[in-house]
Amino acid sequence: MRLIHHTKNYTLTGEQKVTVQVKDKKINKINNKKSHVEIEPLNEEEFLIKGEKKSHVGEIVSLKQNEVSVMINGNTYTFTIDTEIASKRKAKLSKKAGPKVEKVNAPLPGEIVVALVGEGAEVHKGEPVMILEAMKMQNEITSPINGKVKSIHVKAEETVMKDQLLFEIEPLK
Amino acid sequence: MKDNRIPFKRFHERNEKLEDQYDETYFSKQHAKGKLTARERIEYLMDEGSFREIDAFVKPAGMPNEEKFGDGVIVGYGTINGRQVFLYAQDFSFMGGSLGTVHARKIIKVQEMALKMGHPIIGLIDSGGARIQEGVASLAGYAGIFMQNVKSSGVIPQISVILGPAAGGAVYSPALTDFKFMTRDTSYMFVTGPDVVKEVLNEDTTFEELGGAEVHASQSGVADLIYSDEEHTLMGVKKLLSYLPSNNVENPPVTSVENAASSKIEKLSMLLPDDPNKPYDIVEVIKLISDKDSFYEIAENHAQNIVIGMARLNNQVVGIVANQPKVMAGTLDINASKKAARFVRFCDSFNIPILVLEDVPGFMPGKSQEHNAIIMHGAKLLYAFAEATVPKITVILRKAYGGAYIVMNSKNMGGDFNFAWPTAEVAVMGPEGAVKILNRKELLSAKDPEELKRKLIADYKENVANPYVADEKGYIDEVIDPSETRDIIINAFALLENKVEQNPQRKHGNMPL
Amino acid sequence: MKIKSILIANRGEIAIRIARTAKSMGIKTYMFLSHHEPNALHIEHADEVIDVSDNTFINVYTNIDKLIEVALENKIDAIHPGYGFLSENPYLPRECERNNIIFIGPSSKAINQMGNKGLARNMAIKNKVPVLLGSKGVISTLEEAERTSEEIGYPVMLKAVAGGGGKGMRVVRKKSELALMYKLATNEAKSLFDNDAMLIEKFVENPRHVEFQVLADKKGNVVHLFERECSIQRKHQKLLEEAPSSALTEELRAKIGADAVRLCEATGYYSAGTVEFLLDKDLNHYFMEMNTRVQVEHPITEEITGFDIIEQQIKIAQGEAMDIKQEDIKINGWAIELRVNAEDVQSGFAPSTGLIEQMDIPNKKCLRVDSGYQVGKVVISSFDSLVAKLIITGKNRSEAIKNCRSVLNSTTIKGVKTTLPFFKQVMRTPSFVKGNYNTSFIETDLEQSFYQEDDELVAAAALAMQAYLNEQEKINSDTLSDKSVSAWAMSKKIKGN
Repeated sequence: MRLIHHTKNYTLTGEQKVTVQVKDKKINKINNKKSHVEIEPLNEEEFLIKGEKKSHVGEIVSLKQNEVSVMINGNTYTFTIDTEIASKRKAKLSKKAGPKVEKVNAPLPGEIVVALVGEGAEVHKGEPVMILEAMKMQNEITSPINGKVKSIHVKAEETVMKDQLLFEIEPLK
Repeated sequence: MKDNRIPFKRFHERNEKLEDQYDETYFSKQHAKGKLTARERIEYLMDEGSFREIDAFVKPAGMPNEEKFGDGVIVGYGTINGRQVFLYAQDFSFMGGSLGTVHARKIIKVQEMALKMGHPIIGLIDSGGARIQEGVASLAGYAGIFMQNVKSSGVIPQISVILGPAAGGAVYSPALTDFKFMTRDTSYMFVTGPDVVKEVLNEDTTFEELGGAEVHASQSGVADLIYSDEEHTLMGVKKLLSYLPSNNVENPPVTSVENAASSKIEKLSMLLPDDPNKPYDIVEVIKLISDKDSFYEIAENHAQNIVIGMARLNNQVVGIVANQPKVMAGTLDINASKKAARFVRFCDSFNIPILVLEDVPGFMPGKSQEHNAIIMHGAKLLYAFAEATVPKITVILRKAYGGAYIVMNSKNMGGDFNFAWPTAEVAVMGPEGAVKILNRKELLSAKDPEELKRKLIADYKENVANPYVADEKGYIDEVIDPSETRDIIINAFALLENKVEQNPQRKHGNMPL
Repeated sequence: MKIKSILIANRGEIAIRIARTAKSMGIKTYMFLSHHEPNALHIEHADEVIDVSDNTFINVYTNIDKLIEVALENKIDAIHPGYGFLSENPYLPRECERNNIIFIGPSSKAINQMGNKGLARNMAIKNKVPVLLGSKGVISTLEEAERTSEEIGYPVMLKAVAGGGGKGMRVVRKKSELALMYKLATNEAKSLFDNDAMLIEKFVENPRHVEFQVLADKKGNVVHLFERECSIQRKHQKLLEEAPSSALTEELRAKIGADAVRLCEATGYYSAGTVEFLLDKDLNHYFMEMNTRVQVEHPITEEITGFDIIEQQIKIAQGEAMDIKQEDIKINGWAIELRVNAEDVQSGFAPSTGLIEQMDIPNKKCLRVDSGYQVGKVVISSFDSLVAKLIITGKNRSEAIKNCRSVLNSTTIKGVKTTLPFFKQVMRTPSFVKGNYNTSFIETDLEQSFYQEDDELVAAAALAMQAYLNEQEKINSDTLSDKSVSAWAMSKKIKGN
């Protein structure tokens, strides 16, 4: 039995990285420190997370494959959970694959006011590519990287949903 | 304790020799590629210690002096969460997992056993393709596998898990099975590889671009489910299995969760935007109607204008087909029709009742759709619903226009129960379009055409585009309160438990393929 | 003429706010039921509801003809526009006048004059109210913009003539940015105000934003109700306001207040209004613009002065002479307004729409809540993202801040993400606590835009991990029932005999 260990290390990747060691299906260490966190359900949605210093009330927003979102104190935390082996493998594979085309999705539902540049245009990181109007606010959707606009998937006056693909930016070679 | 009597000595020696085959280099070679070995995959997927390997000691055809056993494939049976399954796992470490005659014979053997005994079969695929050294014999091996795939189709669930390359003829076995899983970054499927593409078409392409998991999950729709790594892929297989019966005679397995309703069910009636032309996410509706955390979406990145997947309603499995208003307003196009049709037929084959959640403005117009035969592909969905004899329920949430209304399991297409929410608009077309056609002349001659149009649209909504006309004529059985939807359909499916419907005897229908 | 009925041409919290005062004055209120939010909370606060939900083609709050038609049809005496929408559109008071309806707000002329940034600026110069170096007239081409910007010297601010509330404004730091910013500003102004004319002004780095509330009646009496400090802004959108401002000395307060009053007197302004000033780091003040309407943040002024601004608006509108003397107005305590918006602070304040599933706000003496939502109501993208205004008071600034913390600790809103975690962070940021901040607060003073408890990340990771393990466990031990034979198979008797 090579895979079924009694302790297993996981990496949780989100805004910040957290490592968790699981022993006998229970959380044993967090960030290499012995964990004393206890979790108990409060009701159908909420959990009481008893930490060393403080207790928090949290809830699970979504769980899909190995992506988990939780909410605590009005803040959302989204993690991708990988086993140690898988995260090492991914690091190796992503090194091989090189820079990726960046897909930019609508951060919120709204209406496209205008695309400021066309396909093929070169844009700098942070430069606005289109304007999305929602809640009477015009929001600039900017390029995440220096690159070239590979494709634009929406047009002016189109209503878009949250997370709908707006455009793709190809890194400059 | 080892038994040292003569007959047992050889038995142990042989087993030890087989074990020795799986040494450190065996593991490290695959791990270096970012992949697991066939052995590890089996361990991960099956209940601990339950796997029995058969035909472990065979040797490749024409290679009697080969040291290694197995001819690059491990076959056998075991349990997954206590349920019997048959399995074959190609082993890339032996001649690139290439398919020789012995290799093929082993696969065919478990395929036959699975069919005979009525258990699902899972293929873990990681193979360079036909073994060139064995020539036509290896091609014949593929043919044998395909024949078994087709014989088993609709009798036992067949699941293909692509964990490495699957090229050339090798792709057609997965294509013939019910579900194809792929793993991001490490699995590929294509009929001809990048080298050939370059040679014949002089096009530069990569493995990933040509046939990676991402491409097949979104563009081609070949992959039904993709995961970020092998462990999660295999977990996905386990999860899917929990919704499937072992064969076409059994019902799907039932869970025993008490009070499985979502605690936010009253949210249901608030999900639809007040503006009927505004999009919303149908998945949220599905999640609220079905048992808590039970929805398992299939092919979610392909033809996203329609959502399909498994869910449970009061612990019973249902297949869900739902238009997705947040993508292309939920319009039916070629890909959506094919995706849904295939799923409806799968559900019908395996006694999985079907729930349709409808919000569809029509079929996708345009040259590209027409020229690519939307007529034929749309007909597939029609055919699938009409042919399905499992319990079928439709709930119209909002739009149900024209041809698309008919297709989505309407009453006269054999819907067992057809419900509608008060927000439903059942009509030949949407108000704007209808008014333009019906009142072309008045609108042209009106003093204030905009105002007249506004009035006509209001009239049309009042008199035509609502659920009440259809309800009063019996095309809808009942207009229901959205917050009661779950209870009403659970009850309806309970009523349908004993439903038996038969299509006429025939060799098979002639589906518009 | 005494007003007996008011058509409230607005929605949400301000509609409810206006109705509250109207009710106390014995005035009947009318509000709209629109197709956008058929279940809006404000409807429950109206004496009469005008149902226009069948007309999905108009936004009733911005349709002057419809407002006039409804007012005439129902014989309503007056229209109150609230803020936003038509509140600063000079055509509404003009049409009201033509149809003998009282407009609760300033005259059409005053809106034209003070609502237009160019004209207002000239008025200020004429009346010796200090202004920033800027363009002489409106700018309508890029060439003009380039020339003027050179003259003034970068950095400059592009402002839509017709803009307000931070919309249609862009900072240009150097010449190379001008073309793009000009395009963005004019595009935005065109689509929002249907007028892409621009003004260019010298841009002051990190100013404080201080505004004075004024009240003026039709007889020429003008008073001010002191200032509000509105420097906590994000992209010119105010998030937190306090009254009074800790930046002003008594002397400065009197001086700026007098400027505000003089400007109103000179233009014959009446109704409630707000004169906005920039304060540079040497405490020089510059006239920015005037808002000719009731402001979102008016409650903090009400809390420290004790006057009901809506009541004053109504009284002025019906022609009464104001009985308030400047010397009678005193600052009493401190008030802070927290704008709880449906915005996701963690993703750059992106609007967050959806159903409000929980809304627990404590009942406290120090807390006034002005809100247009409650549990079960839906925040939609068609309107602004304001969910509730928490107006918190204290004897002095430090007590008000203490009260803010305690209110924030016991307030929970679920279903949409809100700016609550942002305010928790603000209340712990030294420059705010000391009262020493300016409009760059969010960019420079705030460590991060939302508050995180000590070990919150660890708790989040633990919960996520546990959820994941539970799911894995569930997949690995799915307890399924015994197999049953399908009805189809039973009917065919395929197995068993």
